[in-house]
Amino acid sequence: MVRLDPIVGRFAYIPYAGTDYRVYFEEAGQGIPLVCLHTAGADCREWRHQLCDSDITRDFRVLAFDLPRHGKSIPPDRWWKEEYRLTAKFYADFVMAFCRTLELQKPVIMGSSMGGNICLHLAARFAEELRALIAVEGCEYSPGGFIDWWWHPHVHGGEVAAAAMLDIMAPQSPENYRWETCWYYAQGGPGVFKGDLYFYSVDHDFRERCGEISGKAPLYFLTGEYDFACTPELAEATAKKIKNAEATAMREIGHFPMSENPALFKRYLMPVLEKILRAGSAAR
Amino acid sequence: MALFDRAWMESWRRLVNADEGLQVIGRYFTADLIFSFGDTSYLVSIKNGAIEQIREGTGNAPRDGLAFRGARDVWEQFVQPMPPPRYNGIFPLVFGKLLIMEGDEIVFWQNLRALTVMTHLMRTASR
Repeated sequence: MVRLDPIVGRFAYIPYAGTDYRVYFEEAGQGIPLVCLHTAGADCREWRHQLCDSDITRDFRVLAFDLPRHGKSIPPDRWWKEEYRLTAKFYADFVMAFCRTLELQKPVIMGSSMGGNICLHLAARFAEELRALIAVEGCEYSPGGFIDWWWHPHVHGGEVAAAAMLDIMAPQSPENYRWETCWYYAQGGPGVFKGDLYFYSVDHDFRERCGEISGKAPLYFLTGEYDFACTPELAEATAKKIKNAEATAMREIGHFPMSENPALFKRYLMPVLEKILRAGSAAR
Repeated sequence: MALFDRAWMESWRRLVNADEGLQVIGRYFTADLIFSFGDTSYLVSIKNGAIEQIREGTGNAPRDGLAFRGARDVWEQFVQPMPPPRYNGIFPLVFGKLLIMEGDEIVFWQNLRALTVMTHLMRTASR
């Protein structure tokens, strides 16, 4: 008998700013919508373990989608005429466009790296529509990543991105999962990783903006100790500036908790999901 | 054999040259690299992903090559079987400025995967 993952993958047309974006997403489970955002230059495969975890999918409808230009989501028309640079406005708007088009009621947003950073923008702009946010490897400011070598004719963009990511994961994480994460990086489209890092390192700067977050949707920071781009100290300092936010440092894990060490990540994630569930029960 | 002495470097060389993965991904990796472990420095000549020659001594970063210079204690952390955060790879060491990289930067970016795997093998050489 064939062994199948419980994940279902589909394409949806997400209207935004006059374009119908053909977006690939995967989902599993039922209950509270939990929308998972991938890291820069990668795609929704990073969340495959959580999509297959019945402890999560019992109470949450887990959805992970590929941003345009990533994974199976094709770029918009005329992409070949421009340099891709992801902006905070497009990214936050697009996440909400996805949620609204799929008619997700009060979803939880969980993003990693740039997906963690966008949680601050979402919390500031759309807290009324969200149940909670989980910023994995996110913080108020993460400079230094927007460099030309990620997209240079003399350098293999996929190889260099993958190799760089290998050692921002923890050495304790299973070797096969670390290299699987690298594989996703090796498959990114030309200029996409660099374009995403424009948001991550340039357009995202919340150092003077944390006060804009109302706290109506709780914000949980989960940060791996081997992530030198966003350290647990940075995340904790960010959380202290935000109402209704808390930070947890994760030992022996790096920049890609969900894909580099899903079993260890689960130990940190489940208490947060349980808090969100309890808050939902109390509100009814 | 002590950390970063000549015998340790030769042990590392044997590991690098026996690594199956490097024979594939390092096929086009030919460059001279200086590794400075505090006061101890070597010029390592890489040819097609294998270490062809190791010479003691140092100088300016080689033309068309790179120098990685760091304090001995930085390298000591790096070569631990489970290095601590920020010390677990050549990329975080350089990006985090724990190592100074000099020379032709494109060599680093073009060969980062091979460099990463090669330098990881320093941990095995240290056991």
